[in-house]
Amino acid sequence: MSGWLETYRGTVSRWEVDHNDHLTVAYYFARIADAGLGALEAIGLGADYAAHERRACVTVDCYARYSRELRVGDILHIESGVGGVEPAALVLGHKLFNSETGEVCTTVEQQVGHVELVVDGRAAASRRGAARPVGRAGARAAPSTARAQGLPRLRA
Amino acid sequence: MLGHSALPFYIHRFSAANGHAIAAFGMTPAYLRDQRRGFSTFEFQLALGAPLGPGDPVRVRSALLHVGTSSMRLLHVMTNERSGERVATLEQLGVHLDMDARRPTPLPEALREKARAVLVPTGD
Repeated sequence: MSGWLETYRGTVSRWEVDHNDHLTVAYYFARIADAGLGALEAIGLGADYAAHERRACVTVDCYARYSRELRVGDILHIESGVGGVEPAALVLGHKLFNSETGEVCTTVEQQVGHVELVVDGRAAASRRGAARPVGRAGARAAPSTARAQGLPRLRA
Repeated sequence: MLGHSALPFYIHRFSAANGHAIAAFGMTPAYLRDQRRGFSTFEFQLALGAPLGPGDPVRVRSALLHVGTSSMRLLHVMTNERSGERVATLEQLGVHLDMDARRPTPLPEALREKARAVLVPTGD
């Protein structure tokens, strides 16, 4: 995976709009979660990887900036890329566009920790405790964002 | 996919908490409806800690950290009430929105005064 990859395409449904008459913030995160899974799939860290390696990437931190509204009926898409690589974590960058105007509406930096899944009969992983960060001991102990680490901000 | 609560559901709960938090200083549902005002988020900093599973009881505590001319900064902390673990925190920055102009608009002074009275000092 190099550069930006389209990871989501959709529209704003009426039931996703709140009392401010724009897309509810939680529904941005539903789409970013999907986009994140798409990006992980593209770099070989998707569902098959989790099933075979018993390791997975779980979100530990997100930084979002909302710059333009999305309203009912708007069409949107997301482009994603890898903004940072750490021993046991990745920083994924997402740009959410209004597909009609081409404007960037929201940017998100999503830090995912690479953890071992617990094998106890349940498909359960923990961000802390039972799951262990892969890469270096304690890498997940203090989640921090790209912002906190001074990495460059993702630009539209 | 991993048996954890999914990202949007944290945000839904924080959004509900925010509705109660801003009502505490006068941005009540009636005020927002009658004055055609809203609270529009422009920045989120979400940090996730211990995972949440089905049936886990949670509590969200909220604090107003800053109030400006039209902007507000709040911190929401979600804990698992069974284990006492911190599950997630959300720092939320938003503005007092003119619903018709679709632009930020200054908070009325009386409301800003009430907000200042409930501010939680952060030391920054």
